[in-house]
Formats: sequence, structure tokens, C-alpha cells
Amino acid sequence: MRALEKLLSQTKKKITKSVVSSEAEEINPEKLSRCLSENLNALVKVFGDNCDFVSREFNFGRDGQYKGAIMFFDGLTNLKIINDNVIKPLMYDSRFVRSDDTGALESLEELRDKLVSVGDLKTVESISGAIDACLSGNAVLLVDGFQKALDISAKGWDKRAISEPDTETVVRGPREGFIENLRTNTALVRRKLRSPQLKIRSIKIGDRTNTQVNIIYIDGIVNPELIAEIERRLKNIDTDAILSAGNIEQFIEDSPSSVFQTIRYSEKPDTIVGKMLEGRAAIIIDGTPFVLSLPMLFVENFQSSEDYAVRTSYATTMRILRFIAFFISLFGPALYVALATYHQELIPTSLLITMAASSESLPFPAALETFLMMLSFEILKEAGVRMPRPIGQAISIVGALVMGEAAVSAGLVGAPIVIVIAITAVASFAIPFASDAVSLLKWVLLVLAATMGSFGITLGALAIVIHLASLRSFGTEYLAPFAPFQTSDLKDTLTRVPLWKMRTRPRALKPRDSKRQNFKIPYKPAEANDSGEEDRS
Amino acid sequence: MKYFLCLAGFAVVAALDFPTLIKSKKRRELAIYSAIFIMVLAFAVLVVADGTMKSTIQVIKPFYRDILHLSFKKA
Amino acid sequence: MKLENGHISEHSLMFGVYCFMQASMLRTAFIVGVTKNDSWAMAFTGLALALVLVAIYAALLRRYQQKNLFEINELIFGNVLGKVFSALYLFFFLTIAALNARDLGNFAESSVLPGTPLTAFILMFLMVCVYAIRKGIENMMRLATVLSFVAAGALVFNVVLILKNVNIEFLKPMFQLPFKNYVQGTVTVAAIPMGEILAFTMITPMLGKNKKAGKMMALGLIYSVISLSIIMLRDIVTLGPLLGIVRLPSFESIRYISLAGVMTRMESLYAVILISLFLFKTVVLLYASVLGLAQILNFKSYSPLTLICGAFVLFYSLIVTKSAMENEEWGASVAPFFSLSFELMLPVIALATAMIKRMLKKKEAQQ
Repeated sequence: MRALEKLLSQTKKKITKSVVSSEAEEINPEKLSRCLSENLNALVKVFGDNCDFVSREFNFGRDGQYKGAIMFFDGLTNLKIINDNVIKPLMYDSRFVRSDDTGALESLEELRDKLVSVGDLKTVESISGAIDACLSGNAVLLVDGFQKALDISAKGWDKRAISEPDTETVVRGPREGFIENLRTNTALVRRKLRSPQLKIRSIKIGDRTNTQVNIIYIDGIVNPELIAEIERRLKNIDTDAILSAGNIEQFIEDSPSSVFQTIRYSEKPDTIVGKMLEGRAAIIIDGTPFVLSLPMLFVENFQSSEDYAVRTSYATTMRILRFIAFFISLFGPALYVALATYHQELIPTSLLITMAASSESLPFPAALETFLMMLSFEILKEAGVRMPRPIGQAISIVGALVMGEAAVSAGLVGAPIVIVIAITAVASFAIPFASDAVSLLKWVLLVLAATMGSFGITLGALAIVIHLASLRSFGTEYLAPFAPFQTSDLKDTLTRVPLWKMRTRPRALKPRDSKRQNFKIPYKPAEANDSGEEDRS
Repeated sequence: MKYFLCLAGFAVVAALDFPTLIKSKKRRELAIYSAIFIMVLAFAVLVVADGTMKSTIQVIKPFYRDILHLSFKKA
Repeated sequence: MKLENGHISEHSLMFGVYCFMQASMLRTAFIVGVTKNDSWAMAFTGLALALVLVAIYAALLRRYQQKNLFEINELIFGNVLGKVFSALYLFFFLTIAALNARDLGNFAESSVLPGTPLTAFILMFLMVCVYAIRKGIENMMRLATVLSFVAAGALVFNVVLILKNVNIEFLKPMFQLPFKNYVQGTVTVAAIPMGEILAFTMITPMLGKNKKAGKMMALGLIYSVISLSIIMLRDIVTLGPLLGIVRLPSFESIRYISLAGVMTRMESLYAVILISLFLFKTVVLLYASVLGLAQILNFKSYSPLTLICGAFVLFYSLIVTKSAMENEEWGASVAPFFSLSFELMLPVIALATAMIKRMLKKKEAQQ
């Protein structure tokens, strides 16, 4: 095991620093030997302790004069391919060569060209290349007397079926979601974007996990500088493990200390393709269904793939509603505390009387009351997420009915605060992408409101806005198109203009090709008749 | 109490500013900054201590009004 | 040596000037006390005077491209005398920053949250200012556009809602006051809110190689004058004779808004916008001071000085004036001359010196 680690860490460090497309095996000095048993020994020394490592030696050729060995990891490979397309042709078919043919093997390439019937085949020349091939789920064919080995792609492991993602459900629009398998995910994207301009580049990250990370973008739309920057940051990652999209995110984001995420993630191919068409790049990480898209703008927190599938008027209303939800979930508790503590004159008189009557017997001041209720809600939320689903339901019943109801009737907290907390909670679910940031910031605002009332809230809000304006995501201002102000980009922010009016891609992303389409008005009855084509209805 | 708050505030300022200045290894800037810091601190303590201090505009006003004779009369 | 490295667009500068000016809405009381119900016209006559100031700044900035006011000083007067001039400007910027912080503190103390110590307001306010400068002034300038729209939108909204409470008769009698009152009103309006855009000469180098700084400042000034006169008109026709009595005319006139019992208490919304605008103005002034101080002391970067300057302004604002009354009295008597000596006299001296120097050089070259 030590040997493997050493070998791997030596080679991987070099490999991760370069894009894999430049042949990895060229870099390694440890060449394969001409002698099969030496090669076998070297590989067994590395993998010998593993019970799932298979190393099968056999003879082939007309007279069985050649010695070969195939090795792979059971479970990572498709045994059918290995049996039918590699071992059978070699051991069985190779005996039936014509009598005038000596059956002599000039080079390993001859095997590749004539006998092994597998689509994806490479030759490797180093031990580390062979190790790499085995680890990534390929089979390695070694033949005595040759200094090369064949890297036969026979990947076949169990993977989850494509299903509708839980994080982003839609009513209209495609339902398929990414899964944990990298190639499936790239295929999902490519199926939606049948363009030769779609480019997928690969980088390996992680000294131990050797995770494949693919940068995927549309050449001709995306700004080349963005790709260069992403590549630079990815190559700079020097870590031993990448286990999820969140890991990559933390290594490459612009402001790690901010509460706002500056890289958007999605589980849906249509969302990612939409982002790419706007001039963004995506990062697909092997082993996680979350695909990153960047650069991210603040307004993306409020966009959903469904916005583009439903009618404009409805989509716009939903957008505005989400902004209101953001506002409520951020300022709700703070405003309540400020109003109840400092600015009673702003509350309508009749409501004030009701509130005063109900709060007369309450033991805690409004700020503490809100604090306790927010705390218990956050605990409930966390418990509901982490617990197994059947128990989770029980928790929500206990939380919602027992605690909310009982706390009020026991006279521990007032009824208004329960309503405020409930509205805040519901509002935060309407903005799933920003809810993390909101759930932290509302505490800060609560403290400000409790100490300085509306003045504190105002200054807190201003500080948040200034913070947002100072954020950058891969060279793009996070608050674009509001700051810096860009009129043409406003079409997809607070409003969602009709699709045919979105003639340009967002300027903030500095796309190479900013023109998206040229379409005037979708349907003109007067003109439709003389073309004759629209008469189908 | 107010002295304590004032000093605590300045301690925070110092804690935020000095480490970066010391790290940047610019002796001259560090020295000047320290001088400014002490001056502002002294000024702050004076302001906190003396409630009867003359306001700036109280000082400037006679200069303009009585020496330069530049002033609007109260309408 | 470049202390700042941000970049802003010319529109940001224009809207920045607008926001900066709108923050002075509170100070209309100075002028209203002098020219009564004709104050709205003072905005325009004041503009004429202020444009002269802008022309002087623009001439300076054109001569020394990509340089800020303090760098220009050193280029014109040499190292030592230049620093003396810069120190005078620094004093001016710090003083108006402190006055503004104090104004906001007084406003918050009287209208938002009575009973809380003034220091607490100013402290928190300046903390956000310092944070904004630390994060880069260019971000603040970029926010100016949206902030301008919000402020202008709120103004239009207020004016529309208050239309049913106005009385045009309050505008009469028109222009019946002694002439010197109008002179005083004009000078005051030009010097106190308008001339303070001198602070933007510390930001204009961020425009890059662009000669439009003066034009954008003038445009911003013109837009804000339109807003300012609308505000004063609104206050006059709503408040009438009360105008001279209330301390914050804009705030009081919005209090009148009441529509179907729903659209009431608009002044709390107005307070939020006002605090935002004040923040913007103070950030610009404080930035000018911090950058200027760094320039005078030959610092590589201004950021280490931000916090300590903020601390200084906090304590300075506590003693810059004794009370709001004193502040008002000051605004109506000496303040215009105080401001003009920095906004007009020093730049004119600088410009004249630069011109003479150039003439001498030309003569030398000819000989």
C-alpha cells in the first residue's frame, strides 16, 4: 500500500497540474518492462493486497505461443466486455488464423487493430499509466515481449438512474436531473446542446481521490478569459480529496468569507445549459449530481429554470414575489422587534392595542422572545433535515403544533411573534438559493434592531448592500446589473421579459457573442395568412 | 465607564490595523500611523473628558466675522 | 504613485454627484430661513454660481489629467507648499464630514429614535462608512445609480401623494424680499451643498483617461438642482407659514401624506432613503480625507488610515458644533464664506498659479 501511495502521489501531483488531454503517461519515467512477469510483479506489488483486483494470465496465438495477462478491478468493469471482446478473441479466435499466416505478432498495435473489439482503446507505456487505467475502471492488457500495454475501456459500475432532483422541482419544464456519474452528466448536457461548439475539458484534482473535473462551455459564446481563469484556479487546487461540488466551490470562489455564495449550483441539465447559453461556464465533478455554474450574479438567487417555461406575466410576478420573500425573510423578525420595541407609533392604533393587551402578561421583551422563537425554529429545521424522513414528519408536527400552539397558550410568547416567525420561515423557503445567507444575516439584523431600532436595521441593510456590491464572481460584479447599472441587462432581473425580447446575452458576463437572437414579434395575424405556413391550426 | 468604552474602541482599532501594518514591514508608515493613532487617542480622551470644550465652528466664526468681516447678518 | 486602483464609469460619477447633493436636502432649512417662499428659485441662481466652481475644478482636472486634487496641489506648488494647501483641504473635508455625521446624528436622535445617545448613532454610522471605504469607493460609486433612482422615485411618489394637501397660494408673494436676501440665498446654496462636490475631485482620476469629469459633475449638479427645487417647492406649498418654524421642512411636509389610511407614515420610508444618501455623502467626504491624508503622508495605500480617520471624525463630530441650533446659526452666517474659501479661493489660487507657471515656461521657451 505504501508503494502505491508513493507512486500515486508522485505521479498525480504532476498529472493534476496539467490537463489530462496532454498524455499523462508521457510524463512518467517508470516505463513498462519487456518482460511480462516483471510488469505483473510491479502491478501486483501495488494492487496485490486487494481482493477485488483481478489478474488473469493466459496464452494466445495460433500455437498459444504468446503469454498475456489482463487485469482490472472487479466491480468497476463490465465483465461481459472483457470476456466477449477481449479474452474470447485472443484465446479462441486467434487460433484460427490462415495457414499461410504465421500468426506472428509484430507489435501490440496489431492486437489493437485486429483482435480486441472495443471502442475506446489506448496504449500506455508506463506502470503508472497502467495503474491509472485500472483505478479508473479500465482493463489493462499486458503481453510478454512488448513494452506497452493496452488500456481497454470497459467501465461498468452501478449508478443511480436519472431521476427528478429533489432540490429543484418544477411544474413545467424537463424533469431529468444530473446523477453521480460524470459521463452521464456530460451526456445529459450534450444531448441538450447538439453543437460542435460545446467543449468539455478535463482536469484531475485531488492527490488521493483523483477526481475527474470537467469544465464545460460553449466556445464562441463564453469569454475565453473566463475559461483561462477557471482553469488557473482549478489547477491551483492542491488537496488530497474532492468529494463534492461544494469542495471545489470552496477552493475556487472569490470571497470565501462572505455569507453569499458566488457560485451557483444546479441539479438540472436544462438550467445548466441555459446558464451556458448566457455566457457562463459549468464545472461538472465526478461523484456529485450538483453542477457548478459561474460566474454567478446576485439575481440568480431569484431565478428558477421554470421562469422561462411559464408565461411572462406570471414569471415576472413570481420574480417580484421572490424578492419580497427575500426581504421578509431577512427583515421580518428585525422589523417586528424594532416596531414593538422602539416605534410603536408606526403600528396602527387598533393593532397596537391588541398587541399591548396580549403582551401584558408576557415574561420576556420582544427581542428575547423573537430570539427564542427563531432559535427554536432553526433547531426544528435542522432536525427535520437530518432525521430519517418518517421521524422528520413527527418532528414537524411536534414543532409546529405543540411548540407553537402551546407556547402561546402557556403565555410564554405572544401570538404575533409566532406569526412573524412562521411568515419568515415560509418566505425563506421561497428563495432556496439565498436562504443560507438569509438565515445568518437575520440574526445580525435582529441584534441591530434590538439595540438601535429602525436606524440599526437601515444601517445593517446598507452594510449588506455595500458588501454585495463589493463581491466579485470570476471578474463579474455580483450586483450587476444594478451596480454597475446596466439597462440592457435588467430584462431578466426583477422582471422576466418575453423570451423573444431577450435579444442580447447579459453584458455583465462579457460574452464573446452578445447577440442571442433576432426576432421581432412572435405572431402577426395579418402576415401569417400570406405565408400559408401558419394555417396548420 | 465612557473612558473604558473609548479605550476599548481604540483597542479594537489597534487590533485591526497594527497587525497588517507590522506585517507589511514598512517602518516609516508604521511610525507615522502610531503617531496619528496616539494623537487621535489623545484627542478622543480630551473630547470625552472635557464637556466644555469650544466647538470648532465657535472658533472659526469669530475669525471670519470679526477679522475678515465676512458674514451674513441674521435675516 | 497611485493610491487607488478602482475604475468607475462617467455615469457613476454623475449619479454620485446627484446622490451627494440629495443628501443635503435636510439643510434646506438654512436657505428657507433667508429667502422664505422664494427659496425654490435659489436652487437655480445657486446653480449658476456653482457651475463657475465646477468650471474651475474642471479646468484644474483637465490640466492635470488622472491626478486628484492633492496631487495637483503638489504639482503646482511643489512639495512643501503643496502639502500645506493639501492640509487645508484635508481640514475642510474632515470638517464637513464631521458636520454631516453630526447632522445625521441629530436627525436620528430627534426623528428616528429619541432617547438614544448621539454618539451611538454616529459611531454605527461611521462604522458602515469605514466598511464601505475599506471595500472600495468604486463599489459605492456604482451603487449611486440605483440609489439615485430610488431617491428620485421616492421624491416623485411623495410629490404625487401630497398633491391634495398643497396650497399654491403659499407661493405668494413672489420675490418681494430685500435683494440682499436673494444674494445670501444664492451664495448659501452654492457654497453649502453644491460646492462640496469639490470632494469628487479626489475620485475623478478613477474615470481613467476621460476628459468628461467636469461635464458629468455639472450634469449631476443640474439634475440635483431640479430635485432640490422640487423639494423646496413641495415644502413651501405644503407647509406655508410653518416653513420657518419647523427644523426639518422636508420631513414635516411628508408627514402630511395620508391616503385612505394606508399611505401614511411615509416619513419613515423617507428616513431610510435619507440615511442611505447621508451615508453616501459621508463616505465620499471621508474617502477624500483618507486618501488625502495618505497622499500628504506619502503612504503606499490609504486603507490602514481608514479606521483611524473614521475614529477621528467620530470624536470631531462631537465637538464640531455644540447643538443643532448653533449649527443652523452657523449655516446662516459664516458657513458660506468658510466653505467658499476652500471651494473657491484655494482652487482659484491653484489655477492662477498653474497658468502663470505655464506662461513663464512659454516665455522661457521663446527666449
